[in-house]
Amino acid sequence: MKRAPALVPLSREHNTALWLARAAKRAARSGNAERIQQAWQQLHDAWRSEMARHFRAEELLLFPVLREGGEHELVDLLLREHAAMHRTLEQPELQEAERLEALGQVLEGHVRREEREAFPRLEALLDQGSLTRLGHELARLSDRTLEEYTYDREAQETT
Amino acid sequence: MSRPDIEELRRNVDQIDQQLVELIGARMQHVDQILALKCLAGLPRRCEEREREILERIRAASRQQGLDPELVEALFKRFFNQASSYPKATA
Repeated sequence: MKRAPALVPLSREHNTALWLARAAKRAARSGNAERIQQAWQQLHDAWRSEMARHFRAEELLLFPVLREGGEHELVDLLLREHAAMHRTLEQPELQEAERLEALGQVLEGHVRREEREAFPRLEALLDQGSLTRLGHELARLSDRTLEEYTYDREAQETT
Repeated sequence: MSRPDIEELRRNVDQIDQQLVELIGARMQHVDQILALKCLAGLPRRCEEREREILERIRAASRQQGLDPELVEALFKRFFNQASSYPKATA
């Protein structure tokens, strides 16, 4: 089924995330220290340039809609995956192969869950007008800075 | 039983085999995700209490279906043992 235009930018970022996840798993399994370090670096770069904002957009704009639609278990799981990846990518000193493979696995599974379960559910829950408004709100959010995200995230974790 | 009947039943068995393999694959994907989250959180791979609960449940379900509980239990113990070798990087 064709993705709703409002969700296309996030789906495109999912493609990048899938590529990174698979590269991370391959690097971890290779046992090659240089490849492992490169894969960690790619993930940290992606976290700073795209993933942190992507997580924030989903948490602020998508997950509340899913909750209203009764998808509490799905949202709880997606949030736990976000938190696990966030914690891991905020700890650049821990770069073992085992954690890299685990991070790749969580990221790949998370993207699949969003593409196969969360996004189709959103498309079913929202009418065309609501989807268009959601697309505009997502576009506005993209200008927010990572510092703002980190601040909000810390506030969220202490509540 | 005529030959066409047997062929029909074999087709059903083949379809169920396919579904079984797909379900086992789906189970493995979920388990891999749990193991990966545990790894990131620094938690142990296996949880004996959880494994005991699963075995109790599948033994009861096996009896309800008229299956040998030991056969099904052996299959699930193989699943549990696979978790010990996660992640594949260190297998």
